[in-house]
Amino acid sequence: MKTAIAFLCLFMSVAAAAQRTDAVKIQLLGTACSDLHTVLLVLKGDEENAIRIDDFNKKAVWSSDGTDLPIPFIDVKGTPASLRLGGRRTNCVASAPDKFNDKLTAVFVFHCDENPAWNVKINTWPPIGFRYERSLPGCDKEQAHYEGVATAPDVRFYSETLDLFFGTLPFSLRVNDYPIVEHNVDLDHRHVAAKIVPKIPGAQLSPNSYEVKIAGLTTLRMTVK
Amino acid sequence: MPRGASHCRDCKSYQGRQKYFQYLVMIVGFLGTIFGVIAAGWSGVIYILDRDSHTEFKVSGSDDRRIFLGVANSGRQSSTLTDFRLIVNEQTGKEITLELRDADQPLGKNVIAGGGSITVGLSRVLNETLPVWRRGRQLTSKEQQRFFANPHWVDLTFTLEVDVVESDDPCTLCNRPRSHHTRTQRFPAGRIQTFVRKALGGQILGGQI
Repeated sequence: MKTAIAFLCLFMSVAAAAQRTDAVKIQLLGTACSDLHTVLLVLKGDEENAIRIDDFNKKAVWSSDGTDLPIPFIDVKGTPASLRLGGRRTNCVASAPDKFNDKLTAVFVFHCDENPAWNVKINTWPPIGFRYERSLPGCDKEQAHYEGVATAPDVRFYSETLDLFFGTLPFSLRVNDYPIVEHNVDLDHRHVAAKIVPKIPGAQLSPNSYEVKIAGLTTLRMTVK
Repeated sequence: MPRGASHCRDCKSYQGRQKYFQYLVMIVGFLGTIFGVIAAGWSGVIYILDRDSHTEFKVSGSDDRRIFLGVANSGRQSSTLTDFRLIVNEQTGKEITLELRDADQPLGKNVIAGGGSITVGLSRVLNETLPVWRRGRQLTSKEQQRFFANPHWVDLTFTLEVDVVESDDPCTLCNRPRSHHTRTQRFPAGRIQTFVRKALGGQILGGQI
């Protein structure tokens, strides 16, 4: 028993000794993603503060040192992240620790996924605060808070679900400029229907539920709390 | 001898005040000899004392990834810097282990030649490259945040400990057998503020840099 407790203490002390850094190395495996210029890096599911990396192919290690990249301090080991590639996205991976040019670095190795993804633009009137949450198998929740207008970049609808959460239902809600909620429409207060899907190829309407389904999968849901 | 003569030809001695001159010459000569003997002895002692290496360092500053030290070896034999630990606010049992920066490692800059002085840079070590027993001694991210998220971290005191294998190490027959010497320097955190901000996540008044 004492040995087990000693091992547990050692494990906990080692686990708690995570090191932090504001430098990341990004590797994107696969040839289909070789023509990228700008990508968004989402750290720890915080899509609201996604880091825009221009000239992505020019180098592999990115740091806030001497640049205006707003990379926060993250654990070098085990920090989850994913990329938005402009029409595609990656799955989530955890960082591995490494060191480059005297700097501790969180290394992310992504696999280029050729499945298509679409931007989803959300507008409310009047402009009210809302939150969206993205769910992709293998990823923790990725979310953002906005007021009035938001664009969820590169949603992979065939396997990813986008949830919208409102404090109060807006008079008007448009997704990709298409009316989803209009004033005077009789709506369930708990779970609001999407009447018309956003302009996404292959989308099917599910008029009697409050969910948009594409290829049989629930992809866009709205909740009013 | 005539009255008023200054020199006695029979007894070969000066008269009047001049007679003291010869004594003065003798005394100066004697003192000079003594001084010469002492100086030679002192040089010998210094030579013997400086036979072994004696290494000291001073933290000069930092950039965003490295802490810089000026290291001097006043002995005649070389010494080797083997381990570097940064201790925050004299917390016992907790440290931030450092290592020689990338550029200094292939040059073997941890070896300080006799009579030499150099500048070396130290950067953080990946925990995964440390022995398991030592990982638990590293300052955790929570502890770092406790120290450095406080905008007044510049009031902290750092201690840098450097293990040095001097030329008389290891000493197994000493009163306290040792494998190395540990040299330390305490200095204000502000001296390496760039390193604290960028490598340890320190914040300053007005927000994170």
